[in-house]
Amino acid sequence: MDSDDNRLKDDGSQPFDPERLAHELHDGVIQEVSAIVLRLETCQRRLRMDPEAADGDLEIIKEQARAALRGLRTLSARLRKEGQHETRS
Amino acid sequence: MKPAADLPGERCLRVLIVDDHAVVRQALRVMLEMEADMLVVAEAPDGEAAVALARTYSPDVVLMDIRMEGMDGVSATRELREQCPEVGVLILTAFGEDSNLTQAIQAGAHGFMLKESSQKEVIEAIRRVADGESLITPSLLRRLLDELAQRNDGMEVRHADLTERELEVLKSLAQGLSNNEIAKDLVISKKTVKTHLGHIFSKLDVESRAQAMLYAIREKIVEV
Repeated sequence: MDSDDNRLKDDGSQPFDPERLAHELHDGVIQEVSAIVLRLETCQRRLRMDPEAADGDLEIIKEQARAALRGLRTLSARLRKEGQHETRS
Repeated sequence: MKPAADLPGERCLRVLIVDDHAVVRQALRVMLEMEADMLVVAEAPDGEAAVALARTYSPDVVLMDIRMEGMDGVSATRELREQCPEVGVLILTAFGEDSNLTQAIQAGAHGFMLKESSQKEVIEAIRRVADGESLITPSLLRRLLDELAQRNDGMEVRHADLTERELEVLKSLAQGLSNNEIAKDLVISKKTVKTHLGHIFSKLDVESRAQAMLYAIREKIVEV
């Protein structure tokens, strides 16, 4: 099974668990940012040889960066929610 | 699992990418496809698929992640070395990730690079593993030493039988030098280096350069 399915989930149904958070980060945004770094370096190499293809690469990278950002925002919102919940209880 | 659609020139260096994250596999594929002489023959999301695909596509090098769901990179390396001994295994791992390098070397991996390494370094490492060489990126050597310091799994001392020359070759190998570099340094032919390596492997009872390197580091034959 592809671990890409195991992305950050915002169901708020489970209590905060640092271990699970680390696991989700590893399988989600960390992999996305790793891929972005790899693709940026490839794009930089391609820039001189084939600027048009490099431009296409940049579109993909931009979309991947947006997806990573969405993942981080989701996580941030979830952690904030958890924090409020713990303060109340 | 995505088998290669075409199989062009015979002289292409055939690579199998193993990583449980599709975004990373895709990025690695794009990176390798920039090289005119490299062909990604397949991608595998786990160790089990990697072994099956290696048997089907006979890659020159398997680019292997360690931490994966199901069969991990260490077990997959062990299986690959047993079922496809001619295939080179280059471990590509993330810095700070909880992965056991010592076990991966003992499983028979030929090289270790960090996902954070530059593309130039990774591509060079793939070429060297395809040429039958081994390498460990310097920043991983530190981790390897830490792992060795924590372990005491009783590797026997076996280098007493090495000749002075063989010891020199082993030291050079453990410092990460290629066969060419060792030949130049010691002013001997590449063929002689290979002969020495054969004797060293046999005397140390190891199967790969990486295992010989691990032995040399553990026995403090070299300082890293």
